[in-house]
Amino acid sequence: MDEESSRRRGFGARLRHGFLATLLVAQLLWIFVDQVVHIRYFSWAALQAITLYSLRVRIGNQILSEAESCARYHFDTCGFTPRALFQLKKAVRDFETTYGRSDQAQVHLTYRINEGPAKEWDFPERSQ
Amino acid sequence: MSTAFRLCKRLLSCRIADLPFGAVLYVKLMVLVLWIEYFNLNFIATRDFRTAAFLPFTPFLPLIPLFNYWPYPSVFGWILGGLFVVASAWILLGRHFQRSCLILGLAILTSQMASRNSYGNDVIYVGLVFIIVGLSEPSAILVNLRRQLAIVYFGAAINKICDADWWSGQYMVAWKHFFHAQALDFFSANLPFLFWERAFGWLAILIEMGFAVAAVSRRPLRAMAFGVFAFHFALSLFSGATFHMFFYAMSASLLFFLEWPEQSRLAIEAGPSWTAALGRLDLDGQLTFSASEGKYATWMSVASALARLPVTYYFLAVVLAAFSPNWRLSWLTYVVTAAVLGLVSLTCAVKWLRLWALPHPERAAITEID
Repeated sequence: MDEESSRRRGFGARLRHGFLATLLVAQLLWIFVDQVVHIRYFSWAALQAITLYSLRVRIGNQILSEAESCARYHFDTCGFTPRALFQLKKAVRDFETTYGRSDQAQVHLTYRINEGPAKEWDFPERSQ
Repeated sequence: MSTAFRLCKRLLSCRIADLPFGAVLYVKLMVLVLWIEYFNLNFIATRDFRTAAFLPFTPFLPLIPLFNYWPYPSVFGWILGGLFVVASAWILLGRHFQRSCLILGLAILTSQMASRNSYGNDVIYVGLVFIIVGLSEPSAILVNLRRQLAIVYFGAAINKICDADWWSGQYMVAWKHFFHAQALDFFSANLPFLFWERAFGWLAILIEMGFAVAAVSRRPLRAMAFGVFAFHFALSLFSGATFHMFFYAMSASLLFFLEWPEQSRLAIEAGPSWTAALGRLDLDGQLTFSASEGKYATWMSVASALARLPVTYYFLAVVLAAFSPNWRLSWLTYVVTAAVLGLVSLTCAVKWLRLWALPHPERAAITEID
């Protein structure tokens, strides 16, 4: 009985150890992969860039106010953020293709990364 | 001993079976800061306890699309919120400590996965620390936590190395503007263009890479503990923000590098009133006071005792977290903390210099006591 329980404990410990090792190694590998895919989640890119941005949302002929846009996406729609630009665009794109699909909204984003030149991005994205 | 005192003692005590003292103290500090930073009193008006924490418990634009197909978002929120509250309470009471850490860590990570807008490296780090404490063998907890910290700094350094704006100084130009640190311009009057901005960028990369290497070095380094705290303290002081949990989560990681002996013998030069006061704050019974041999001044031995007491860290965390929304008050707290830290550093420096001046046998005897 004791042998059996100690074997089980041993298996549990090995499982926990394996899970922890995987967790740590996966993070380490992802840091390098993210330099290529630029998702910026789980790669420990905290406070990596400062983005000044402003979002304008139009549904039909009506342009949403700042409060309405904020309520729509659950984040401030103008100001500066240490979050990666990709995460902002992805949040807008995902919202407009899921929860807000029926609104057929047009979103215009203007942004500057690290005080660099002003750039623009639209949703639906214009074909090149 | 009154029931209230016993409860307080249990809440603040960090001596749990075989678990490392520093890890237990870190976990309890982070639970406190999580509740201070993310607690929302509006839930009393709404009578919906799921709104009590700013951490979202209802899926919204999840990172894992699976959460979009969960048919009962309200049930999801109640379960996650319930786990969060129960696991926090158990951790503070020191009951089922490792299991509670695992549950809380998983609840935090699930909450982050279920709502992409709330994603924060600080909260993810704290969640991972909880999971590591929950899953590791007690003897391996500190080693695993140091490895996790090393990965965080290594990731931060690699991300900066691969970003041209960090090399050119462009990032620091933006940082200065948005965090109102134009005072730096005063120092760059006669220096080459973007000198300070480049220097700070390169320095940040060097420091973070250095921390990553030092965190996995064979023996715990007191210098590493001090360096981690000083770096994040300076970052927070100059930017005027704690970035939610970022400042607390990273700077409290110094606890992974301090040695916490079962019993510390301290020579107290002050009278019995100091000994009695410090003894009352020593909830874990760590300190035993011995008669002074005249080697330390009062304030040196008191500072040394305070640095070993968890109450000091609870006090600092609660005061800083409670004051952080008010910039002036938090600035005042930062200045006071910096003064105290400066005093402690000076104490250590004087102590070390005196120790080095002594012959070897005497030095060994004092080091053993301390």
